[in-house]
Amino acid sequence: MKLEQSIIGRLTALVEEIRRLGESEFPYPYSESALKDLRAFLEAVLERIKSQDELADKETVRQACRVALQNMVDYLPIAGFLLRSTNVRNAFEVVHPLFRMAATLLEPGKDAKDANIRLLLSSEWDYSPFIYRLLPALPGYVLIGLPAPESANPLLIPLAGHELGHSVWLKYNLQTELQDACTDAVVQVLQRRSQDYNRVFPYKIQPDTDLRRSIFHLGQWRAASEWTLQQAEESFADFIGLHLFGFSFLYAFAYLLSPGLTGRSESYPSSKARLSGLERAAQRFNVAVPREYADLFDCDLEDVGDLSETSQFLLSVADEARDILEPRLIERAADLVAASSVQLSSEEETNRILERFKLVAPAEHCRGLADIFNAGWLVAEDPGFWKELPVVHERRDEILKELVLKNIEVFEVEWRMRRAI
Amino acid sequence: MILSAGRVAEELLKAGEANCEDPLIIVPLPNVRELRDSGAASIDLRLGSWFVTLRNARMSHLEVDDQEPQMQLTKTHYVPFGHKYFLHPQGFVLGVTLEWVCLPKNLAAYVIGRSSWGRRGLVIATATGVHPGFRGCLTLEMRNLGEIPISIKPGMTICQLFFHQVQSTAGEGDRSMFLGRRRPTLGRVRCDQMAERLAR
Repeated sequence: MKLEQSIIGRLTALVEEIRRLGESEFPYPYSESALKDLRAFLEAVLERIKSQDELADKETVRQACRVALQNMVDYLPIAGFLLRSTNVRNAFEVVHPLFRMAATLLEPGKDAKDANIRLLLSSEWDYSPFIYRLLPALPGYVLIGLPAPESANPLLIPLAGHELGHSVWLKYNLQTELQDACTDAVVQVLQRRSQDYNRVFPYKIQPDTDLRRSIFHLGQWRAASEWTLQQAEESFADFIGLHLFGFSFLYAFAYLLSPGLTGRSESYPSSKARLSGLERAAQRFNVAVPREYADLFDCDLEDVGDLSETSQFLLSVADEARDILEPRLIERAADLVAASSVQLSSEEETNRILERFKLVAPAEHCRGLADIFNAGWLVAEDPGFWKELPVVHERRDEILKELVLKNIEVFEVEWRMRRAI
Repeated sequence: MILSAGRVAEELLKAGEANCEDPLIIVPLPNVRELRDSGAASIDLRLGSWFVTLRNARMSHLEVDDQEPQMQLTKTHYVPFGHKYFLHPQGFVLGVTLEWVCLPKNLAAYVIGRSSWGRRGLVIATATGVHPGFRGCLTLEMRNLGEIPISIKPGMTICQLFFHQVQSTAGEGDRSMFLGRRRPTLGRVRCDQMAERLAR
């Protein structure tokens, strides 16, 4: 059996499966076009493998097969994601309004119908909402997945704001923009903590050490810089989500992430840092933080005991460096949201919608998505809401979700009517 | 007493008044000016995007006293605005109104098909009563009695609602399982005590 034969077989099966997925019922055009694009991409990979000459160098064939295999590994979960985007458990009413919000944010000044981005809302069999970034087969697509059991829950849609934050990070190449500031912050922390540094590393800081240029030292602390940037991206995404959706982002965040699991990821800020960052950003964006919000989280669970002493040190450096960058991240999020014309939430508008919800009715003439979610969360957080309507109160959570989704559909209907005029 | 469309328009406008605790609400709001001028005794409602069909191939018959969860009996479809749903001859589908309707305690309503559709074979809503206090989208039972397939589109006017004044306004109003839903609902067929006793 030739090496490429098994790859051709597996790739052919994957392409055929994607063709079959194309026979699904598509509730909106983006999943269908994504499937077509994905199929075309994989067919091109297949064609490249098939066109390997009989006389081709063995290592060249092996390399081509490796690339093909990597593509299969990368895109099989995407095919599943696209299939799940057609499932009627998804909150389809949200797709177009959320797409317009994303287009306004990522392509400001452009009419949504001319936007290059395409939004896919789907579900994950995972409790961590996930965004697939930089997919060569699907350029311009923003993929947002909510945990499958929650994909019909509109109150969690504000978490998509975090995922949009990652898209903003990529779009404005903030990694490059912040690289120097990140290095500065890490070096600043390392110099301040030179005693700890000298304790854990073989190459010590001397009076003439240039931490930035010495390849020996760079090799020792580079991981801290990478983690700082990753953490900065996560924090920035939090700030974008918070700014776009107001306090409903905070409630949705707590709903899905509190009280928190044990263990600590290097690429995420600690829960404590995320919370304090959100609180600072909330103050900057004039967003009211729910009372005793921090108490919802068990910040002390994030044990780093499994990490080596060196890794623990580097992670603590990354944490401190991220703290230094935080004010800049908050301001950058504020600037980029302000530069777009995304409609932000207002207390007055949220209260107006809440008054309508009291009557178990959607509100008309809403200005933006955020107000609808904020009003929804105020209902969700008030156990006495609808108490005077026992039948409604009995099915409070279910009816609230239906009402919020209907309100979003009404928002969409009104937008379409205005556009038609 | 059946309310005229003009009177319905007046009731709808009350929803915007701060002191109105139990107003008639229809969202998206119909064109109030057109309602006033129509001279009709009903208002038109539009078709929503959600449909439910029965999974015929998975059951021999519907057993009313042995309730299966709805999801095993039905399949849900979503048709976005601008797309069509084809209802074939003798086909049956549950649809839903685009409008979310809140009836005050002093009003009830009947859902009736529109003659323009009926004459083309499309029959809408055979279980037509909407009780005072109802809140939500109305499930429509749609069947194509004609000989050719009919395409229906979300957003099109599909049925009409006749409003009736209710004399007594005591109690909470509608307590049905259909309350507060945006999608068509099959619901449950409940056997009452008398039916159960008769069967013993």
